[in-house]
Amino acid sequence: MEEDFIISKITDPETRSYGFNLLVKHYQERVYWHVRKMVIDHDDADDLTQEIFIKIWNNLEKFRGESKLFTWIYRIATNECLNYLSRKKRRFFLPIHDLVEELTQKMDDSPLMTGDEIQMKLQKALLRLPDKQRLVFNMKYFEELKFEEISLITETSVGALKASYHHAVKKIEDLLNDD
Amino acid sequence: MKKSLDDIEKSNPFAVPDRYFENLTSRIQTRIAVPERTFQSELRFILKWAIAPVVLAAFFIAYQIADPKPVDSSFLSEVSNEDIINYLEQSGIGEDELVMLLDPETDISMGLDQLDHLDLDGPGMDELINEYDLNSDYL
Repeated sequence: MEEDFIISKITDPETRSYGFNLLVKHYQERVYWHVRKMVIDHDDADDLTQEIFIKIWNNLEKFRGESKLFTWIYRIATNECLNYLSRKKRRFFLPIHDLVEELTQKMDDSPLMTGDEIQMKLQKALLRLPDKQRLVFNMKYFEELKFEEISLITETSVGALKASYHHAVKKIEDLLNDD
Repeated sequence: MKKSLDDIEKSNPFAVPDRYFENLTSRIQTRIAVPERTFQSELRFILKWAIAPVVLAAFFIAYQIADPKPVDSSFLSEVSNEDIINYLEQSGIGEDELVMLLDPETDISMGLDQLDHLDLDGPGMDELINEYDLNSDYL
């Protein structure tokens, strides 16, 4: 589905609802996986994904076409992920590593984890990164987005992103080799 | 041998329940079709209607405190006696209540004890008659 076609529908009040339906169908999986990689648990990812699309619906009129639709959607999804994780940490009133422990435990307990040993080790190592660095890593490594795209989504400079990604890779490799 | 990320196959270790994405769109559509009433939206609704009278009341009180105006009694002189009496009759105010409303310095008993000693047939009547307006409706 062409992004331009969806935009033409959502920007017209007469066809906004139809356009939103197309938007959800087109982006739901990408948004879900973007969220799931951050929050780990399927039910949490499901809730958050729905919240993100509801927020998109409530803000459709604000989309002016100044950025790509995908960039705009991912920016909302990224911010909601970061806000969700911040709220979770505040609720616990615990140091950051305790949320890491919780998410690690979810990985071990969840029947919806199908990775092999090295994959699980990689995912657990990723949990030790700061949230924003982990997001950038996921977008670059798993989703293979360009730094320029990630820069528009996170409103961070390309240089800062490259430095962040480089440090994340080094940290992950050190953790993977810590046996 | 030291592992590097390039040695690891990129794959997705997460799974979803069967047919999850088939149902997701309809669930989202259902939620946006029925606007959710959250605590924040309820509070906004109440404040929207309460804020105006509250602000007006606050301004009024502030104005009164800042510039309290004494009651101007001069305007009472512009009100006719007939209007005053009509008002008193309609309000059902009794004589005792009227007395209580009077200025404490006003001695309404002044002259009343004189009536007790008045000899209606005596020479003092002339004086009394001269003093009072016989054309008054209230005599």
